[in-house]
Amino acid sequence: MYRRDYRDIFGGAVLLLGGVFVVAYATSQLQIGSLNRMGPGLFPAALGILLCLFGIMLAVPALFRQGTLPSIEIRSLVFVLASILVFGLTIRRFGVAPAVVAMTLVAALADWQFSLLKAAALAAGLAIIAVLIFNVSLEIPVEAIRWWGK
Amino acid sequence: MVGQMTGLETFLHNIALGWQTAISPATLLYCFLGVLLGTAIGVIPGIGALATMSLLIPFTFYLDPTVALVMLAGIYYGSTYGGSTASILLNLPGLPHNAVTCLDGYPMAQQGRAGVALFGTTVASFVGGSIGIVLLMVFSPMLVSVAREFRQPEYFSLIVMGLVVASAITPGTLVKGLAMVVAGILIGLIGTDIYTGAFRFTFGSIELMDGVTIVALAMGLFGVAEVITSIGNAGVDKMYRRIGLKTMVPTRDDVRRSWFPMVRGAGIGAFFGALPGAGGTISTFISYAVEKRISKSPSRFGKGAVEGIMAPEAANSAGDQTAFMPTLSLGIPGTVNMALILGVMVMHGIQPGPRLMAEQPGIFWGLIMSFWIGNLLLLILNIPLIGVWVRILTIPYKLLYPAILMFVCIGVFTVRYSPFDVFSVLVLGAAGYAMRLLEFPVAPLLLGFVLGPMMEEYFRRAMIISRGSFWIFIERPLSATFLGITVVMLVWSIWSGRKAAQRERLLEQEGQSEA
Repeated sequence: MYRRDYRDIFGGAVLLLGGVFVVAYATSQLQIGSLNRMGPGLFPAALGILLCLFGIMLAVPALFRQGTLPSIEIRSLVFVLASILVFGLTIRRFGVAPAVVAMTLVAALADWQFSLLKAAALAAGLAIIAVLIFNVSLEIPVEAIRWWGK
Repeated sequence: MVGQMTGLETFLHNIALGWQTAISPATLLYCFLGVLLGTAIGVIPGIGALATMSLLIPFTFYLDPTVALVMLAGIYYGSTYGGSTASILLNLPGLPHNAVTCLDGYPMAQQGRAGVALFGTTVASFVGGSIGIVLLMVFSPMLVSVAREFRQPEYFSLIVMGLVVASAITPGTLVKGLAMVVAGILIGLIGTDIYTGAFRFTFGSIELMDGVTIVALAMGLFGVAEVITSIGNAGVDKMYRRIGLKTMVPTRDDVRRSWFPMVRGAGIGAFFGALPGAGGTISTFISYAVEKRISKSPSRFGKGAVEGIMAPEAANSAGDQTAFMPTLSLGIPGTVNMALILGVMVMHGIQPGPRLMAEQPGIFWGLIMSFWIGNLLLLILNIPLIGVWVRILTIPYKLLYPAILMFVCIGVFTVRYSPFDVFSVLVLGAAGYAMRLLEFPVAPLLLGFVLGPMMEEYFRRAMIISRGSFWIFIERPLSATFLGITVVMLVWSIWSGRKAAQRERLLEQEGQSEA
């Protein structure tokens, strides 16, 4: 238990900052126009103001009440996101199967129970499934494996 | 009299047309695949219908639009059938829809009556679903004829109502729900403005000119965020019970007690399902409370009362079907799942709304008639397959989540073969996880995303008609009614939130004085 509800203070601050940014962007980069001839910036600017209001309504009461903090699953978060990143970086250059193998190996790190052998077996299995579904039956225009030099 | 006859004739004609579409081999096959997959993912806690539907959107580009919709809808209502399995056997709801079923389903399983409970919820889902479809068939044409009178102000006010109701009803505070709606609308506005051609929030990126795709948004916020949360607490017990056909036979007493709760549950569920924004979970709680209130022996509830599982399961299945009413007839989705269905329709070039029924009756009625087939398949499939579904519960999550991530990545990549979309899933997944930590509800965001662009368009056109006067939303009676309901919902939500906070403070003070 903390003296203030930092979760909602932080949440409100994010909303407020987001709202300020939206209003600033809409008023500087886009035309506002008038109500009977609305420009592209009017609707976003109005929504940005609403977002600021909601941020204040969320954060201010939270200053005066106790709260708890959530626990972050850092291991899962990092390796799940990393596996998506690895896929995005490898799919164009190496093709479907290598990208799936690489992403599965990284994703397996998120769960401490995986042994290397099990992770490798799962990666191979998923790569075969992926190639069968996407390359063989749906015939997507990305090679299963893209060899060097081609 | 003559007019009525022709009305009835067109109704029958449409049903025949829909039946023809629904019975074609391709539709049958994908309906079967949809409900089968839906049940499977409903059984497994930690994978929702929404994540699965968004995973399959890229596949639907290879299908005829009707067939694609039939399959996605099958996943949606099929998951509700499966969701009760984990509630009963593990005391862990497969979906939020099925949380109430834990209350009496798990005690039944502990008493060795798991088979009866699983059989009962399947029948209740079928009865509820059937009642829902009948109401959908009868009321949709009426809703369409009312909706013909709708102009831009009515649509704008209706969307505002749906969005406010959705954020007032989702758990958590009203402010957070509304903030997520606004954030969703803003994300929906990213891209090229159709009126002026201006690029909004694109930051010089070519990919963002077309906007954020619904596939990336749904997969990131729901799929990836769900995986990150579930890896940590995948503590499903390795308990496995053999459930044979013999253990599923209900007693005469069970049957007698089940009829009226099923019908009442279906009625409550159908009503809430059809309201934009209300959704299924709330109707299960209400139908449970109703059964407990009118029961002659309310003390049996929570200890394995069969009424306590039949009513909520009938309610959520009926609501699943009637939820299609505002989506198909008005083009206004009431729940996130419907928002996704609507998004798919738009992607396939089908414009949902009052004109859909007249212009593309094959799609409209074909989809509705496929619900009959889907529900019948679920009834036939589930009873012999209950043993298989129970076994699915024992698949460890560590084998599932890499597969989910693989389908997320390849799926989103194949939408336009751009790594950019893969990276946006990464960003949205991180954002979705942060929202869970901060207890921001994600569902209103997706609703806002789908409805936001329509809302702006209706607002703009209404403003052109009224020459910039807001009065237009109030001087038109239907529009004023929608806005009136919105205000009532807001006041109610603030009032009930205050009351809950007061109660909590009182409890805290009592706890402190006792300590």
